[in-house]
Amino acid sequence: MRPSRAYAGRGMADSIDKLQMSITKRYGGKVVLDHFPLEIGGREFVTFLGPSGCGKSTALGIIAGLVPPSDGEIHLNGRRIDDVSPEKRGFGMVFQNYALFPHLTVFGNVAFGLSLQKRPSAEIEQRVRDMLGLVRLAGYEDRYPGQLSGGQQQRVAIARALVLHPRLMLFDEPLSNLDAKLRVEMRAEIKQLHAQLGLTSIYVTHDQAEALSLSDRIVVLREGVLMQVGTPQEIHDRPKNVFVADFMGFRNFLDVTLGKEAGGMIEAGFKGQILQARARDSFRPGEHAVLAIRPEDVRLGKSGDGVNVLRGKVELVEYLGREQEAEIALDGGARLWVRSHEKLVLGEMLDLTLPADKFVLLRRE
Amino acid sequence: MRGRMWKLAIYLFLLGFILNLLGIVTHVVVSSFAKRWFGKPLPPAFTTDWFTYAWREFELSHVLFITLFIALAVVFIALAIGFPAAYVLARRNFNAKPVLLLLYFLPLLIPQMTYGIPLATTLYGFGVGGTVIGVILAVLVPMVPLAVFVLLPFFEQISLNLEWSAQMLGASRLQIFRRILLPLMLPGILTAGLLVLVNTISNFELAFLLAGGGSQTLVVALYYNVFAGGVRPVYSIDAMAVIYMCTVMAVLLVALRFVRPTQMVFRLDGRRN
Repeated sequence: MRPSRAYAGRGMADSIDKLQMSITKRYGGKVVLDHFPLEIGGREFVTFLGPSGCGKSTALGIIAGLVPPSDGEIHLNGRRIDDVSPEKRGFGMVFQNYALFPHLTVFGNVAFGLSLQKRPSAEIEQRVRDMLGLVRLAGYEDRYPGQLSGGQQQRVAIARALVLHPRLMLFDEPLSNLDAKLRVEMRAEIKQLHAQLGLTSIYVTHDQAEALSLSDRIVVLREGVLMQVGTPQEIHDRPKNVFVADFMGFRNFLDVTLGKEAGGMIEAGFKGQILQARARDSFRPGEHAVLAIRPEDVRLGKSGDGVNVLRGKVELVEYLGREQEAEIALDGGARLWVRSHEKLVLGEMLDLTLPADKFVLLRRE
Repeated sequence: MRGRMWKLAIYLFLLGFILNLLGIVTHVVVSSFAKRWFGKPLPPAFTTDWFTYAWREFELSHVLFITLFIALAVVFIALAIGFPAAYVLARRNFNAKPVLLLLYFLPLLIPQMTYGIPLATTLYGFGVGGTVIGVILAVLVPMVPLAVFVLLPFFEQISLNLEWSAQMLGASRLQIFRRILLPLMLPGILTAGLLVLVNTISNFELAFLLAGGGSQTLVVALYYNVFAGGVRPVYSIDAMAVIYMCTVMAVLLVALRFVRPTQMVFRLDGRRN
């Protein structure tokens, strides 16, 4: 990748050092964000992940300054900014529906911010052309937004924000309106731009794959409450609660009663059977808990030592292409989802092994 | 069979309507050019004298000037008040909004005479009765709501995200207004302006109640001269009516060169959140 000439004039983006906040937002009596805490360092890529209505877009709007918080403060590099109006914060923002100005050409859209700054026209010309080259839209200067595809429009929107060297880039579900193939391509482009230009980015999405592939850190939100913050790997492998686990693709949640602990393993009573799981702090014998496991971590057949083996009948098979996922009715009455490359036949009786190290022990909610 | 009858009925109705309209208009136009016209299908001799007569006798240059001045002033003020009002109504949701919209609608719904008389009394009380200012103020009462209701849907189709993204790019409220809202609202402003203009020129009741000697609009002057009776030759009245028709048509034609109301709504991308 060639070095970015678009940023050559001023070196890399004037990235922030630190953004700290703790905000509450109420609409009427409804709490949309409840003391939402966040700390972001320079050059970081942080994603707000959650289902629609979890408050993630509101949080982004508050950081941008477009939505006033009900309570709390935002500090940028140690200085309070929640009373600074959005146009003076120096942040860039990309919206889900592109929000390009329909009466301006691609050039006019990208040059908009620079012309407000009253830059000399030669500089505007140069920076806009460089930026359009960077997002692979050279030659589209005179088109109008209506003449572009969704992916191209979103690239114009990204270029329009980046050309101003924003200290912080805010992405509000930028890929949600694009089709699946384009979404994956644009995801890679955004990641590359972030790294190449040394940006600090906050990205809002409801798509866990997007969050995992893009982020340095993921912030999972549910109804305005922070559920977990961590690296993609932490969120993916060690969810802290049933909500995050469910969101990250754990499909099996077994209600268990914990037994005694020995050698780092803990016994868990499940429908008259004893399962073994990796022990975790703060869980005590006799407590009710949940064991979560992904369908793809359940193995077909009996394990050598006969530990954690369950037996059941195939009730439903979903074809997924390379694999199939099946719902198994266990002998004890519970149900379990299994994913397998092997062909699963309806009505077949199966032995299943649930590897102890694949279990995640969670508190019951 | 029934479909055919329907079609026939519709065509006959349309034909009758057009003939009727043409008949009335043609009669007035022909009469305005007639030297004398009694009991014959066509006048025996034509002349344009009645136009010069009407122009001179009824001080039409002054009346026309007053009419256009009032109309343009009303357009300007109605847009100046209606634009921000429509913006707030489109962008903000509040409990009293339906009630407020209904109140705005009232001057358009109820007959102008019903509120025209107390309105005129009030304005005369303030000493602006019979003046150009009085006519402008009275006509503004229904024209501001009209401007608001025409502008409202135009604002509603401009996504709030467009304003937000302009703001994120460093635009102040004034710059958003000038660079984003104004150009995108241009079709709406032209439509509203056109409708207010035509409605003001053809407004009779309020202009009639408020107009004095020097502040008569064309319609009001026409009315007075028709009922002055006897003294005025009917041909000169017809000439004046033709001038009135031509004025309105000229304004409409000029306006329609810039505005096409049917194609007004141009696609703005972006859904409203």
